[in-house]
Parts: sequence; structure tokens; C-alpha cells
Amino acid sequence: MLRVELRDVGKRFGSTLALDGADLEIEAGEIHALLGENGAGKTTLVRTLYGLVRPDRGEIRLDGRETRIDSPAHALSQGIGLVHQHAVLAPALTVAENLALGEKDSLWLPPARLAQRARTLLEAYDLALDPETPAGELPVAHQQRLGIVRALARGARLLILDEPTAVLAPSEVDSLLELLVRLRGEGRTVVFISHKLEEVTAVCDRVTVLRKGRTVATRPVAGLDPRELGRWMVGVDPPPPGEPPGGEVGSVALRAVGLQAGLLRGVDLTVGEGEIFAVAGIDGNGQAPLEEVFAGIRSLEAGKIEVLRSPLALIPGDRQRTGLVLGLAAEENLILVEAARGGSEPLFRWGLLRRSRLRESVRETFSRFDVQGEPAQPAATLSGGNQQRLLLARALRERPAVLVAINPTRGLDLAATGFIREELRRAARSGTAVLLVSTDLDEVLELGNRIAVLFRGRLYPVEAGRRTRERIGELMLGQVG
Amino acid sequence: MDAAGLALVLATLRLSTPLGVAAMGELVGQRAGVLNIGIEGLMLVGAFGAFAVGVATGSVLLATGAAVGLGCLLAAIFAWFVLNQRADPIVTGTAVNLLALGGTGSAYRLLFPPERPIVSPPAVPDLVPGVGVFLLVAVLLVVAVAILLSRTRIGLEIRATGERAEAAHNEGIPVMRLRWACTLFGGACAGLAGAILVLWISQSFVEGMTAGRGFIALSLVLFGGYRPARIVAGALLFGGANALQFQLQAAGFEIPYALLLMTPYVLTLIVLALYAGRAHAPGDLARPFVART
Amino acid sequence: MNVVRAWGVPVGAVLVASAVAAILLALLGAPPLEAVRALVGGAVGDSLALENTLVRSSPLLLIGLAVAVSFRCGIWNIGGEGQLYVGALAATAIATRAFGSAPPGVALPLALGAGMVAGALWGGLAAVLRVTRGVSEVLSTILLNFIAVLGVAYAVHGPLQEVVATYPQSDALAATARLPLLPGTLRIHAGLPFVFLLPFLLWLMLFRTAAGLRLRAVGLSPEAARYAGISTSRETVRVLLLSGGLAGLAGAIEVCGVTGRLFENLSPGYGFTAIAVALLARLHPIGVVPAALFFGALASGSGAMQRVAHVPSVTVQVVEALVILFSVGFALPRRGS
Repeated sequence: MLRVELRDVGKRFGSTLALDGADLEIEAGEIHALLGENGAGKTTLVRTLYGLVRPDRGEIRLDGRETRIDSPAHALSQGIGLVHQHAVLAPALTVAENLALGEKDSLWLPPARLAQRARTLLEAYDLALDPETPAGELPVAHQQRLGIVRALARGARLLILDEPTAVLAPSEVDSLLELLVRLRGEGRTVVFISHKLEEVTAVCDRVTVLRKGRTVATRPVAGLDPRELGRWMVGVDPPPPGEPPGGEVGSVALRAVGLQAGLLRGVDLTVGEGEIFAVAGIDGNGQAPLEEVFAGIRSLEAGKIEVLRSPLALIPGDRQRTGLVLGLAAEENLILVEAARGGSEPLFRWGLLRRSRLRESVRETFSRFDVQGEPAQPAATLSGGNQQRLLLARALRERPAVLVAINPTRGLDLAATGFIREELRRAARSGTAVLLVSTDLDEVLELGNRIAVLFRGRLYPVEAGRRTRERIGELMLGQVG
Repeated sequence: MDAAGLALVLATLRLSTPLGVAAMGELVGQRAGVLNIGIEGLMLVGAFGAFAVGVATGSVLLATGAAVGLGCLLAAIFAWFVLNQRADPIVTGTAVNLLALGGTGSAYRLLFPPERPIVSPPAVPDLVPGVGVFLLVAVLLVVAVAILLSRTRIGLEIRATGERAEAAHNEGIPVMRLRWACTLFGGACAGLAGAILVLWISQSFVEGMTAGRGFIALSLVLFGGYRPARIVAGALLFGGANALQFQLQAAGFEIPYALLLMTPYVLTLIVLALYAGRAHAPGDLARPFVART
Repeated sequence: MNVVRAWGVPVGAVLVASAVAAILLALLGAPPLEAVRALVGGAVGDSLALENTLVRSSPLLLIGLAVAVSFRCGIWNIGGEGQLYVGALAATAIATRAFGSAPPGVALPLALGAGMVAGALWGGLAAVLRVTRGVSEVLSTILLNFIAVLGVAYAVHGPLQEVVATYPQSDALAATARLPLLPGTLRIHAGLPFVFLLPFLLWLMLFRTAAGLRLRAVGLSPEAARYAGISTSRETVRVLLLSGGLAGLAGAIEVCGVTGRLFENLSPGYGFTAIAVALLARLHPIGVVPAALFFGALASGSGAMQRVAHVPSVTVQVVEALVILFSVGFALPRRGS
């Protein structure tokens, strides 16, 4: 049993204030929910507790004693375990090897002994896995479970789960929640990070809500008004969702037939002019190869993509990794696609960049898409919202006939999210065919003229009359009937 | 087996040994995620250390110890820049090679000026005629590395560190300390390889005498797919080709000397072209690591 | 602050590296002060020394640019030395065998062009191996260095050896294929002004063209560049062709403008020194000019240092290595991070 207190924890990363005096109190033997929007500081707070983040101020007390935790090794020795959303495993090492990581009991670890230990552990937690499988080949849900088993095997009395359900299908979520209850029954303490109210009310004893790096409230879950929780999270009442665009749908602008690549097992789709076709689904069901084939960086194993109206523009799904070249200036990122095509008039003449034209065009684009920042500023120094606006601007400034947008609002605050969704609607109204791939159910419901669910590499259309969260949830699980 | 055949086998063993030894050190480093292209320079300082101390003391043991020590020292400089300062390993490795080339060249010319009589270091004692003790050392080293990596906890921790340093760190494995240790081990092996060159193979020191053997050892790690046994097979292949080249020359085949010298490099390049793409490199190879933000 | 970063780090690196080298020399029993005096005298002491420094800066500048553009693209071209050698080899072959008797307006451009093309192809080979076979350019360019150097050794002992076959060297290049000396100088050849113009052209290319933007984007984030529609393979091939071509040109200029013949050890390691040049310049084409002049002076002075103070000229390599470590061992642009 372990009682944990964090007091007045502050942490700044560069220009971002991640934690601004957050408190957290965890009683022994409870399931404690940590709730908050993206960027509220939940992850930073628990990483502080696990020795992965060095706080600028504040204190940590374990069972009342002030303790400085400066490494995971130290946290583990205190009985604290952390499992990330994508459990951090060594992908090329086997299940057995991953389970043995960090064990100190014996120097001699031949493969047979590793496998034997792994089998015992896996059986104890009802995990039917082959110990010899490389961990990277497991589905996300199994990797996560493996991470939990590993932490328990290390003797974790306090288990922190960092947004485990975001990557799981609803049935997998249920089974995870059952496991949490079982762990509480064994006398362990659980910290459960989530941003979903229903998961919190289902199994948690108490909840702490974070907003902008501060603790808003800590309350017993029983008898809480979910609307009040929502207000604590966002500060105000959440805005009502917009209506899906209802304009005329023109002729087909983008058609894909029988796409096969990696996880994709034959995807057919068409998007008409002025239409937003939204693809929902849990990450890992083929979203990555779908993005890659439309980005043109992965070749199809079968099928074909017909772009009947051009140009086609793309908003990649990871603004920091695949979207922007962070070391280049904002303006250079803006014209990168043009440069990729060789650089033509009016921005280039005789192969040379015309700086005055560029500045003019960039200023115009920045104000049109509300990008806050200097054109010459490195993209790395823009805020997340402005980085995403920059990507949106890059895709839309040439008035594309087809737009493929992958998770265009992931991790953004409400204002930026609203702005980007409105721009996507506006693009559709002006005739652009939009293919939206998003793991955000609200976004899909709000924007999609038509919705389909990507499940295990296949696309399942949502019937026009059954456009509900429940129906989409079923399809995400593959319940097609 | 006739005399020529026996000579070929012995020459193969002799020429393969430094390659295999250096490659074992590089392997352990790379398995922990440290790419050290300064291995050529580490070998060179090892060779010089073995020569200088060997000449001064006449002791094979002290000469070998000096080689290992100097290899470790230069590896420590590399490690400090790459691991602690997160400098680029390619640039740092290149600098280490230059440093070794210039440093051993200057020291050799100052300590052994041309007007001094020619001196030679002691020769390593033979196990059986024609086979130096170093071969036994090399075999033991390969077996030890193979066992370390595949059947011990430390080996598992090394592999996890190279594969995904973050995962290793999260499980309480001391990533930095392991990477330092493995880099130093690599320096020791390269230094030993340099000593083998001087005390067993050539009995002298020449500026830049490693002549790319470090880079060939580096290629062997890739060629062998990061597995000790295959790396040894590769070392024997290269040592054999090298030995054959000398035999052909001795037998009076009219092959221009420069072209003969070229063969190991061409061979390495061809082998890399055939196999490099297939090897699964450690996932976090050459990536810097930050323990805490 | 920017001024401090732009000048302070390189200057500090040079000072610290020199100090460390001097201490090492003292430890080895050589006289550091005398060595420095001889070195400075040999580098800038009189007009001949100055000319020598300028001439030696030329290959360092060209290959320094070659290294800078390739590193900017995230391509570790360590093969400048080999590319220089094949460039010199090709230029010599053209100027002594194929077109030795061509008129001046033809032979010289042909020789220089051949050197450039040969260097580009040597670099291109590494690019092709990387793009099609997944061979790291670090290893391939290093191996290609050995092959090129030994190839030249073979050539001057064999097919390109002088007709009288006395020494392992080529015949003297035809006068029509030589770069004329500038009037009033003893060593400055007509290629030098052109060489000093190149950094500006490279700067224009890198920072004012679509090609330069693509190249830098690939170097900074190959992933994002690919998603923007840039082919990293094509950029890899292009940058290695460019980089190899610059180094090959350096080799051609050496034989056409400086030595007049091909022989073994044509380059005292210009290809490796150039890495120090590029890094000291923080991979900036304009910065390559002072950096190349500095290392050119070191190279030029090191001969005098050996003659006068009996300090081995290879000590200069120690300074180069330390400059690399101290100047940019700390913060370099790197692919994918």
C-alpha cells in the first residue's frame, strides 16, 4: 500500500508552461482518475512521479515522507510503475525478453529460462501470448497488457496508466477496466489517466481534474455530475458541435479501388466535389498505410487511386514529424510543396526564389489562416496550434480540388480545433473533395457528409439512417451486422 | 595438406584475428546503440601503444596492456562527446580517426626519428608454431561476447538499450552507464587488435598502418548481421582473401601491387552491397539519449 | 548573441585546439613556441608563403563546400579524398593521353570537366549504393577513398606512367591543359579567382532556390520532406553528384594548376581536412572561405614547421581533429532528430 502526494508541482518546457502548481493526492488502494484535456499536464505530472521529468518546483511525498525521485529505477524501487499508452517495449526483443527487462535477480538468463518465467507471468494474468514473439509484432492492446504485466512483475504497488484507452477498441477498454478493478482487489493503487468521462465514472473511486497545468478539483466519483466534470475540464460549457456540411455533392473527384498496402486489405472509396468523406476508426487499423499511399510514399500492393480532379493536397497526421520540417522557417515550410515540384512562377524565376513575392504571399496566407508568428521564424518555435494552421495553410493556399486530411486537430485546444474544422467545411463548400481520416469520433460526426469506419484494413460504411456513436462504436469493433 | 596450403591457413588465421577482435568490440558497442566509426583510429593508437611500450620494455604483456589502455582512453574521448555532449557520432568518429592518425604520426616521428637505429617490439609467443597466443585470446573473446549477448542479463540489458533506450531506461536499466561501458569495451578490443597487428603480424610500426582494417571490421558487423558467429565467418573470409593475395604475389603472379592492395576494399564494398540492406540494425543505433527532461 | 555564436565558437575552437596541440608537443619534447613561429612564417611570412597558403586553400575550399552541402542534406560524404583522386586521375588521363594535343581552348576545359564528372560519378556510386542497396554512404565513401587512392597508385605505375618510366608518376600535362599563372605571381593559377567565387554560388543555390530548399529539408527532416512530395533518394543522388563533382574539380585543378603531373600522395589529406573546414564554417558556404584559408595556412606552414623546428607536419592533423571536436562536437544539424 502506498499513499502519494504531489504538492505545487511546476515545470516549464521552453516557452510552454506544462505544470503550474499542480497537486495530486492518491490514497492507498484506490483507483484514482486523472482527467483533463490534451495539454492539461496530466502526462507531465505522472512522469514527474516516475522520475522522467525533473520538476522546477514542488515536492513529492510517499507515505508522508518527502522523496526525490530522479530516475525510473528509483521509482520502481519505491513500488511505482508506469505504463505508457503505447507501452514502451523494445520492438525487436521477444515478449519473454521484454518481460525480463530490469529484473535483477539473476545474471544467467538463457532463453529457456526466460521463456519459462514469461509463461508463468503470462498465465497469472490470462495473457495468451507466445513468449518468443517479437514484441513489436503484437497488437497495441497486447503490448499495453504486456507493459502492465511487466510493471506488476516488478512489484509495482502503485500502477500509473497513461491514457491507455485512447488506442483501444471499446471491448478492449472494458477488459482493461476489469483488470483495474481486479488490481484494486489485490490491494494495489491505480492512477488512471483519461479524458473520457464514462470510463472515469465506471470504475474510479476519486478523480482529479487538471486544466492548464493546475489542479481544478479532486472529488469522489460517486454522485458527481458529469456536466460539472466537463466544465472543470474545459473551463466553460463545451460548444455545441457544428452541423455537417449539407451542400450539393458534385461529380467524383477522388476514387480508390481495392487498395492493398500493409494492413489495408482492399479499401474502396469515392469522394465527390464539395463532400467531406470521414473515415473513423482506432489507430492501427490501417490508418498509417492509408496516409502513406495518399502521400505517395508507399506503393500499392494492389488496387489503384484515381485523382480525377487535381491538385491533391495533404495534411499529414503528425505535424512535428511528417508535417513540418521544424528546422526550416515557417515561410519555407509553406512553399515546400511548390519547391518539391521544382519551383515555378510566380514565387520562383529562373530557378531563383523571389523574396519580395514570397514575403507578400506569406503575409497574405498567414493572415488568411490566422497563423500567429513571423514568416522567418523556425517552424519549431511556433505553438502546436500555429503549426497546424501552417500545415492547413500549406494545403489550402493553392485551392486544391482534393484534400486528404489526417487527424487535423489532434492535440489542439478548442479554439484551434474550431478554426480548423470550420476551414475544412469552408473548403468543402467551395467545391473541394475532402477525405478526412480521424480517430476523433466527434470530429467525424461533426464534419462527415458520409462516414465509414476503418477496421482491420477494411472500410465499413455507416448507414445513412444509423449515424450514431453507438453504431460507429460497433463498427470499430467489427460488428458489421 | 601441402606446405603452401598450410601457409595459407596460418596466414588466414593471422590476418583474420585483428579483424575479428576489433569487430567484436564494435558489435558490443553497436548492440548498445553506439556507432563508433573511430574504430580505425582506436586500432591505430593500440598499434602504436603496443609498439612503443613493446620496444621500451620488451614485454608482450605490458605492450598489450598499453594498447588496450590507449584504445580505452581514445574511446572515452569519443564517448564523452557522443554520449554526454550528444555530438554526432559520424563527425566525432571521423575526428577520432584524424586525431589518432596525426597523434601517432607525430609521436612516432618524435620518439623514433629516422636517425635512431631500427627497433622492433617483442613477438607474441606461439601456441603452436605459426599460431600466436592472440588467436586463443580472440577465440575466448568471441565465445565470451556471444554468451554475454545471448544468455546473460547484462547482454539483454545491452540489447534493450540499443534497441529502444527509452524502454530500457523506464525499466530502471542504466542506459548511459551501459553505453559508456560498451564503448570502452569497443576501445579495448580495437586496441587489442592494434597490438595483434604489431606484436604478431608485422613486428613494426608504420604510420597509418591499420590501412582501413578498422573500417573493414566495421563492415563485418553489418555483414554478419550483428551475430558473433557470422562476423567471425566474415573475418575469416576477408583474412583468407588477404592471405591469398599475398600468396599469389609470392608465387610470382604478375598482378600490380596496388590492385592487390585494393582487393579487400572492393570486396568489402561488394559484400556490403549484397548484404547491408538485409541486416536488422539496433533500433536506437546512433541516437542520442536523454534520461530526464 | 548571434554574432557571438557565429564567430565565438569557431574562433574559440581554433584557439583551444591549438593550445592542446602545443601542450601535446611539449609533452613529446618538441619546442611549441619555435614550432608556432616557424608555422606562422611558413604560412604568411612573405609573399611566396602567402601565395602558397592561397593555393593550398583552393582544394580545401572546394571540398569544404562539397562536404558542407552533403552534410546539409544529411548525407555523410566522407569521400572527398577519393573524389579528389579520381578527379585528378581523369584530368590527367585526358590531358596526357586522350586530348593532350588539343588546342588550349579545348584541352583545359575538357580536363577540368573530366575531373568534375569523374568525381561526381565516384560520389554518385555511393549514392546509388545507398539508394538501391541500403549501404550507408559513410562506409562506402570511406572504402571508395582507399580504392581511388590505390587506383591512382596503379595508374602511375602502369597505364598512365610517364613514357620514360623512371618514376611512378604521369607525364607532365600538356601546356595547353594547364591553368596559366596569374601575371606577377609565382604560384597563383588562373583557377583560383573562380574557386573563390563558388561559395557565393553555393550560398545562392542553398538559400535562394527550390533545389536548395529541398536539399535542406531532406537534411533536417527526411520524413516531412517525403510527405511534402520530395524524393529523398533523388536528393541523395543529386547532392552526392554535386559534392563529388566539386571534390573532383579540386583534384583536376591540383594537377592542371599546381603539380602539372599525377603522382601518389598528390593530396596531403585535403579530403579529410575539408571536413574540419566545413564544420568550422558551421556548414555555411560563405564561412567555408575563412575556414579554408585558416587550414590552408596550417598546411602551408606545417612544412616550414617540420624543416625549421623539426616538428612533424602531421601534427596539423591533431589540430584539425581537435577543431572538429571542439567546434561542432556539440550541436550539429542531424537527419531525423
